[in-house]
Amino acid sequence: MNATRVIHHPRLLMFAALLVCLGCSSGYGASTGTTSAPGPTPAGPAGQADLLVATCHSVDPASKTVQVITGLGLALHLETFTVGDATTITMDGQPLRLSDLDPGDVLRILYETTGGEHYAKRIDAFAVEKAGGDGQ
Amino acid sequence: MIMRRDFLVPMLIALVAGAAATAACKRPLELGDPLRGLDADQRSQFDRGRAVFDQVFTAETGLGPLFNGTACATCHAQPVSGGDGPISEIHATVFRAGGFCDPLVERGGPVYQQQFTQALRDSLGLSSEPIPAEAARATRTTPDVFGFGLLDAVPNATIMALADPDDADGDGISGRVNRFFDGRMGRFGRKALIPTLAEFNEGAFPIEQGVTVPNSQSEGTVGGAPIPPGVDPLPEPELNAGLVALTDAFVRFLAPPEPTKLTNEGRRGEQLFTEIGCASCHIPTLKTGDHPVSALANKEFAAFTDLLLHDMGSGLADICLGLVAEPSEFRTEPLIGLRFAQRFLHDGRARTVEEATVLHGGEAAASRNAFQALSESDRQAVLAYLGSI
Repeated sequence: MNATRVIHHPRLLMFAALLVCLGCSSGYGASTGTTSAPGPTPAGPAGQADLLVATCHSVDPASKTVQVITGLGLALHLETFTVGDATTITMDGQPLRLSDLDPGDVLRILYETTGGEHYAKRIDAFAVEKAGGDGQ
Repeated sequence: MIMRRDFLVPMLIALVAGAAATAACKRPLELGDPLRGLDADQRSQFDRGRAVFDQVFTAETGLGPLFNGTACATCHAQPVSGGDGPISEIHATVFRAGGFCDPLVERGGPVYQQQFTQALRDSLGLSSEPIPAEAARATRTTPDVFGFGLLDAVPNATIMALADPDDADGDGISGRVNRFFDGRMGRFGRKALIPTLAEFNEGAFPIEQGVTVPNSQSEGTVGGAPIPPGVDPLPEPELNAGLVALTDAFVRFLAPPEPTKLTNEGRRGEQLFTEIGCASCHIPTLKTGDHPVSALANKEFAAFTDLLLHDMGSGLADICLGLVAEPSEFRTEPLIGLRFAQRFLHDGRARTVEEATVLHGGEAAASRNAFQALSESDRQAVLAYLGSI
């Protein structure tokens, strides 16, 4: 047996053991990464515009309202938006009437909340890429 | 010789210390352990989050008035908290003309709670939420949540790269993403509806336990009818953001069970699993992307899913859900912790892995047929491999 090798092995082993332990604790000190649920944008104070992206559930041209599906996970709920004469409704940049919106359309709604009611300032319907897209 | 004796003691000490350190660091993870590499704060969040996960709610602490279970761990019960369990629930939707999948929100959908608090029972004379007659119904078993933090950390781009919605490569396997109601890509749930683990976790409190949370402060309805006044007087939210975050940390940091060492039979099964096409959807390994938690960043893990929707055939079809998923489409179930599962498939109709395999249809029919055409020993090899996961 080579004496020099016998002497060097424990040093290597100690170094290796140190590396192993350092490797085990390499996550120590990492930042906490829990993320908050994005959820629907909550309604802000009166007069402040908010944005909600949601799926059209139903349209009532008589009461000039549109109901959309939104929520958190499987905890879904409906939100109702009143559409006024000044509300702009478009799809792919082309103007639409309220009655042109269909259940299942995905809507980007810019709205204001007054007295607990939501008033749509602008509604953009857009096609969701059902197969590809950027995932967002 | 003198020199050798001088170094004999330090050498032995080093050997013992090195072996001990290695053994300590590489102790096999036990079921219910957190991921390796968490820092002290993350480990503390995990431990405190498990306490919230295990907490049994009562009507006095926020339960109900409609619910499916009294604690997360009531359903995610076996063999440890975070596992699967014996409780199933009912989902219902309606596929409308024009291709709109209606989740029946105005009628209490899509999850129909099976239990009421005493106050709600006394008020309505009902014991569970009525389901609209025209709705398609689905039974859903409790999934385990092992490794869900890793699944959450897989980049959307990775999943999109696996999609082949028009089967452009002609292999008979497509794969599409589902989309939530705001158009975002989904990945959690049997129909891949829910985009993120945070939403999956926080949204489970109101829908499964009737415990309201900061991002969902409505107690819902009873089949669309408002909750009678006085049956749930607690102010909303019934669970604060801090406790929601701890629960999220527990689930996010819960480690996947490590696959067991493969036998020769298992290794042959692993090869067959790929050869007969199972691995086309049950992708054995996925890799997470960059992540602020180092224990979740850039990690390869045994996922056995592509997180995409696939047509599983009319025999398994039940409900549509979200913007994309049709009744026969289901997300490839991650097989993480498969050896601990008690029931199989989305509704628990299969009692064994082999039975579940044989019930695969649609895009999986060719693989199912190939599995059935294997010799008995080869089928057992595939099952041995699956039994290692």
